[in-house]
Amino acid sequence: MSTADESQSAAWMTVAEAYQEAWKRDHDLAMGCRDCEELVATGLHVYGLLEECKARWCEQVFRGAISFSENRDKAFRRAHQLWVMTTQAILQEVVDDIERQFDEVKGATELRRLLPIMEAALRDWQPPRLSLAVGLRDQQLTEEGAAALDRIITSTAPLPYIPQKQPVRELSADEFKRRLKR
Amino acid sequence: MANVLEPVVFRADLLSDVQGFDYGTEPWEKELAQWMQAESIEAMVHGTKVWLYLNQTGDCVGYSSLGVAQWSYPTKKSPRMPVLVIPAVAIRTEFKGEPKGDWATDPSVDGRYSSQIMRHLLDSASQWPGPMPAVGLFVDPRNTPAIKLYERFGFAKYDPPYTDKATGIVYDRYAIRRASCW
Repeated sequence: MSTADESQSAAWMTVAEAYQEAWKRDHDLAMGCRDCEELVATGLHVYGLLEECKARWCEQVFRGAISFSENRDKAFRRAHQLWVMTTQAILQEVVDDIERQFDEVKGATELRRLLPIMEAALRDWQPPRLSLAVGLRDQQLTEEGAAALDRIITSTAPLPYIPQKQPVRELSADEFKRRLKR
Repeated sequence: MANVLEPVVFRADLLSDVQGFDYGTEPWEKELAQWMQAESIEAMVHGTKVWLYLNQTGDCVGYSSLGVAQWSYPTKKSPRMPVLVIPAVAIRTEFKGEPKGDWATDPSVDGRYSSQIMRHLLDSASQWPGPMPAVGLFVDPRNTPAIKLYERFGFAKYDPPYTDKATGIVYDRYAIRRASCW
């Protein structure tokens, strides 16, 4: 595992483990509504963090900015699993109880909504991959290429085709399905 | 006009409608078929727009796409520059060179499907938000009909060929100044 891999993977695991630790620590105290709300808020925050990191990583791999790493993928998946396990425990062992006795726990509805989304993401886990279309990958221009591109961009020669100014009319997908010859 | 194409914004549930389309047997044509099947939906997640084109008799004649990539100048301090790119564009074999007619070479009025699709792409590029100075594309140097089309619309080669390290395929790089309407 590269240094970058290690630090990235360690960061994701730290965040997910901190969430799990908070749950373990507060388990006995969590019958108090306030502690429970804090746990739920942490769960929501960690979810956002994991999703953001995952999206960034997928984007970088897709664009060829970094190479795909099996180890990073495993660490990432493990962090997601930890989040699911912890969230299931919090919802089933504490939140449900409190809500039976008192009012709705703040943020719990959202956490319940996110749980199946994360479970599905784990079930259908797709490791990121490099784009097949080379045009979508990040490019490093050569000096010669950069100069040629500058000439193209700054050219004042008329373009063979002047694009239309009005918005392009597009068919809806439903209209397409209706009109498509089978 | 009987053979005017209408663009349709692609979405995942249309994939089954375009499955099995034949874009040709050349390696670059197979690549385009593969891209549509294997990556178009993922590319949309990364901000790429994909369109299908329907003719007046209800045939889907092909597809195109437009996205954003980051290009870097060769100096260490130069920032990455976002540019619009055409990752993939393809016409089904049976519609290549269609509709037949005594078309003028002026790309603004040429009624062939290929020219209609290019005009739609350049119209869409000009209306894409953001200060992107160029529209780029990568093309297999053996794909002479496509190269002729791009050059007719004003695309020019700007850098030495790009070799995809994963496949060993070599591509010529073309770009055009972006005519902006935003």
